[in-house]
Amino acid sequence: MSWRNAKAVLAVLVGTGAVIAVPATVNALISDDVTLMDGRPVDVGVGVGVTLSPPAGSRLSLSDSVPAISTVLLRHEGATLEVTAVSGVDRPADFLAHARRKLRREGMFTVRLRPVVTRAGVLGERGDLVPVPGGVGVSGCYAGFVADERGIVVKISNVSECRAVPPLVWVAVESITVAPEEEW
Amino acid sequence: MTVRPWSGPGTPAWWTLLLLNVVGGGASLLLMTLLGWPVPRSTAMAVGALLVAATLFLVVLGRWVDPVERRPSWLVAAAVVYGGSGAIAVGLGSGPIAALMAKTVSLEFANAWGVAVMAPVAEEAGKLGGVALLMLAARPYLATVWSGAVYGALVGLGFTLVEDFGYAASAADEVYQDDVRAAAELLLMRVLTGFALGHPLYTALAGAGLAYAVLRVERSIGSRALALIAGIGAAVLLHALNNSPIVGWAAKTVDPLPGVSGWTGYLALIYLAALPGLIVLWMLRRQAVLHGLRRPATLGLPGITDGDVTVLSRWASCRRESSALRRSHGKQATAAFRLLRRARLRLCGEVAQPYRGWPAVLSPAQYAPTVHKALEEVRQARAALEQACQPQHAEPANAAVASSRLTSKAVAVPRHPEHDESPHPDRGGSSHPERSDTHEPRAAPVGRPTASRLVALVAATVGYSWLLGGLLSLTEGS
Repeated sequence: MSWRNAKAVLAVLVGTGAVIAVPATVNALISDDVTLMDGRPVDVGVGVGVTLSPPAGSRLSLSDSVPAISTVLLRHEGATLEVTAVSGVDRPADFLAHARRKLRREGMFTVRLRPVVTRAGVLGERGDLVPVPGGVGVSGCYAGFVADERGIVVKISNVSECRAVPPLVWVAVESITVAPEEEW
Repeated sequence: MTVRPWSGPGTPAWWTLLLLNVVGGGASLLLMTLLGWPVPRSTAMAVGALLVAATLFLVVLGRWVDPVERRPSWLVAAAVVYGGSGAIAVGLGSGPIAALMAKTVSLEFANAWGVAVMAPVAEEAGKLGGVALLMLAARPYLATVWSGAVYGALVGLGFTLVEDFGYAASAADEVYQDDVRAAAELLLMRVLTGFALGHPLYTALAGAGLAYAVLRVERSIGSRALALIAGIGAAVLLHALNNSPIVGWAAKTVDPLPGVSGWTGYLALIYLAALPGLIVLWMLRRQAVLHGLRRPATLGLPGITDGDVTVLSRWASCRRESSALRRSHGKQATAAFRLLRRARLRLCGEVAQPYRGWPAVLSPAQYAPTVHKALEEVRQARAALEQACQPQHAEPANAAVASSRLTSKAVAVPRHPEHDESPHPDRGGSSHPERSDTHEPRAAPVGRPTASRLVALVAATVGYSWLLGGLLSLTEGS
């Protein structure tokens, strides 16, 4: 009786585990990044209405680009660009302050902040990311934008500061556009 | 056939479930703490709201939806904790499914349909695994297809509590610092649109399919496999529909109509899709209630006659009888009638659940002290009703009703293998000398919904969706 029960338990555990282990294994075997064609815009999430046009040769990380939380992760010339978009932002200053606060929670200070504007006229700010001493944060560059009740946070890592961001990566950031949001 | 005492700790499944719940429950609490720590006010609000919703769910489930069988609290807790820990862990591992969709089809396709595929597949598998473990760990408590549905719903409840908390905490931290309003809006939307009709319903359907496949050994392998596939398929499809762009299209289609918000289309689609599943569960419930109410008589115990089953199994009949008694004999008789109803339900519950590993009733002469106590309560409640009916002259119809409650006789000494050295029934037990109303087991007739009832149900569902849709659009507007 006990052996039968044990075998059944094992079958349940193996069956349940297989449902996540099999896709994870197959996923790991397929290359994670896809090279993007020149000028092809990428939607940041679904229905948020935020897009950016990455430079030619950028690699889009398919595993780390999560539609459920409207995040896109691109790699270009060694820099990693992570763009996250949210809707319902009616107090831009509070949103940007909260974005910086969340970065500090992740172990990074934002310093040398200055205003910035995209080619489409979306206003925002940018600053260097400095790791909190003893924390897990990394150096890099931060940018935050708010337009039409949409908030966008850009985090560029694998660079020492904003001035070290490859120009084409910054061109991608400046290509961010905000279109009308889909209600449903 | 030899009846052996069941022992939870004697089964590997029991220990596996315990281990998963202790480790997984701890991990789940840690995850919730990490999510809730930066948003303390929203966390307090979300925990309070979800506790209220969970309590209401459990009360409605235990008191009205599942009134006959008594579910042990440790098993209910195990189901809810597993749903909020083990099943959540499996669900969290669904990311590679969406990544695979992006790699093999396109990022746009994964964006649109990713959550409609990855969440149902992984989450339903995780939750169904929990129901299977519960069946293996506590088999005597999951003896009917309806039990599979009930424990499935409980696993789904645990899952939805942790998931809703996670979404609320994330919403509170997404745009502004500790945004209680965003968390409250999200919770309101999730509770109104899918709390009971979401994960609890999906897992109830899958659990019923699993229980049918495991318990209905008298049926062919084909029909059992079909029931399992149907249960899991219904759960996955309903979940997928809820997460798919189809609900968005329904909302967009309905939105331009005058006096109707997009929410109406969204809700109507979800509710109408859930309706067939709810009807199947309702039929299973009815079958289980009738079976449970007839069980004491089937086992040769007094206390509940066929007439009582008719009254006890329907709320409307119960209310009608109660009102008739109130009119003819006053409040005291109604109270006594309610007590008798409760005592009879308790008797059915005690008969259905094992007593210290043994079946509660081994034979009409051998049953657990809990059954004896319940029989005694029935006898006392019946005497109280008789007394309440005596001082006044009853109308003929009500007198008949009252007297029909008084026909069964009391039961004497409880005897159970644990307390008694009497021969085991397998080796020859004796029937009870005072048993007065033995019934043969009968197939429980289950009322099928008629076409007019279905039309009314669909109309009511659309009407409810319209009302709730209006409420949600008002909330959004404010």
